[in-house]
Amino acid sequence: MSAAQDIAIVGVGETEFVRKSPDHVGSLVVQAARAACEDAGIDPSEINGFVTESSSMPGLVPPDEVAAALGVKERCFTGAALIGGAGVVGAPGLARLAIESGHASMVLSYFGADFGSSPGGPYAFPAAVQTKRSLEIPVGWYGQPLLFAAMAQRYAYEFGLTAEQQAAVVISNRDHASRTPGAMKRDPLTFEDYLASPMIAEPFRALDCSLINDGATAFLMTTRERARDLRRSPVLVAGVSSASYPTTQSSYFSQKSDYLRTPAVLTGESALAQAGVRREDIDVAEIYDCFTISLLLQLEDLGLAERGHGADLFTSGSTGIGGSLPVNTHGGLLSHAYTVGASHVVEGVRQLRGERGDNQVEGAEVALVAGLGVPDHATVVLTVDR
Amino acid sequence: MGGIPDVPPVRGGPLDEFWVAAEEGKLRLPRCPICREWSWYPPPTCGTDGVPPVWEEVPLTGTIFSFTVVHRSFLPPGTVEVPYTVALVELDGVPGPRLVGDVRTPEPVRIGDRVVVAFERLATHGLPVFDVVPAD
Repeated sequence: MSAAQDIAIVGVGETEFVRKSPDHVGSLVVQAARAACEDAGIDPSEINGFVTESSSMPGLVPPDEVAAALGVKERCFTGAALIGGAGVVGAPGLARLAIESGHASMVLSYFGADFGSSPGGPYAFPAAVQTKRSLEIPVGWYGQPLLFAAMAQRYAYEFGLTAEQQAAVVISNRDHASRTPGAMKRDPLTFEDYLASPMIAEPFRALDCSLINDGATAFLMTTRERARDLRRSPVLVAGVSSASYPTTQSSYFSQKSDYLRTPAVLTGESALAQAGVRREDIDVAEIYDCFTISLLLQLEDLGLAERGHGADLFTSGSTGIGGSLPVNTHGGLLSHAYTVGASHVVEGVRQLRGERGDNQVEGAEVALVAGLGVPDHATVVLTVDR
Repeated sequence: MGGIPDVPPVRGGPLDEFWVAAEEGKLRLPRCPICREWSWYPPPTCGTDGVPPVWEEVPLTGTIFSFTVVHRSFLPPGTVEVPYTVALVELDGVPGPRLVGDVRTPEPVRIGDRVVVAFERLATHGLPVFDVVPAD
């Protein structure tokens, strides 16, 4: 790691997460951004760079609107990273380029969700795609749960996947959420509760699927040098990598030859190498979990579990706070809230700062955060400032 | 198992040949006239050769690659009866493409099941559907 290239995450902020918020998503983002500034101990007017994911934020919550609402004086850099969760988690990569090259010194990244209140929710976006309208909606191949359910079905065929294993993922996430202030779903779950959850698309029950909500999450990045003068212990972006599967979003879900691989195969290796971190050094992993299967596939593609054995981490208890690899220690998209991975980054930061109270991973120094936004993926490795 | 969605496809555009063929009770898929690779879903021109694909008739038999039984529909209300089964099918002799469609036969399906493509007459269009061929 060369010191000159390090940037740090210095402030994090979240709104309340609710099914439907009375506030416009733009206001929610501004609230989260102000909370991140307060956390860092900076004035919002100091922000001079913006990085968002590219699928919805540039249109729904444009950086110029956010900047104006925050009283930003100079907006020197604005960038859109990859799609959805890949862009949110990979944002530090683009922020690092901007900071290293001198285009910006204080970069805000955010995601605002209006999935709960907007007509069509998370399903409105894919409906606009030509292949969907022409080929997929007419046969009912529509709605993200179905697309991932078919992956889970194929995974079950190739490697085996039981309801007990899926439940173990759900129950582990919920257990973490039960000790996470602000998580939407905090009541602990049993296997019987899981079985009672309504079937959506086999083998997924409602509990296998991401929450749907309104709310916003934001984080601030600057140089390591500046970070050392701010309010919180700096959390370094030690490695970050983004990659895309060379296909379209529609083709990804039905046509790609290695149907069960994600680009996490590429981003994990690369981010860890940049950071000079071995897999056994990872203290906590926050992995994009839009569905239980997505979490298992990424754990395997990141090399954190054997192929076909991702669920073993959950059934063995390894993903708990005292386990060998605590996973999604805030509850993830399944139990905390759906801000497309931004709160996964925030949780990684909070764990490394030691702020997580009775859900703190003791002595956590290295966090890996992974985000999926088909056909894209990003992994970021965060470390304490040593 | 269950229903067949009745949602008219958006017609016109580069994918229309699929529905033209379906009206004739046939399946045609796009293929590069130079490298002979099938492309599904097709880009406007072959990624290797830069020429538009030619639509060729393909066999009406294949194998289920994956599927899901849908209990909660995300389609417009009233357009399908749940549960319904949607499957990815690899057609015989057509490496690469997976056809996405509904299984019409009522029995539970499994990956690896053999299917034949049939055509269901709906209000506005003919829809290719899969009938599972019982194993011997």
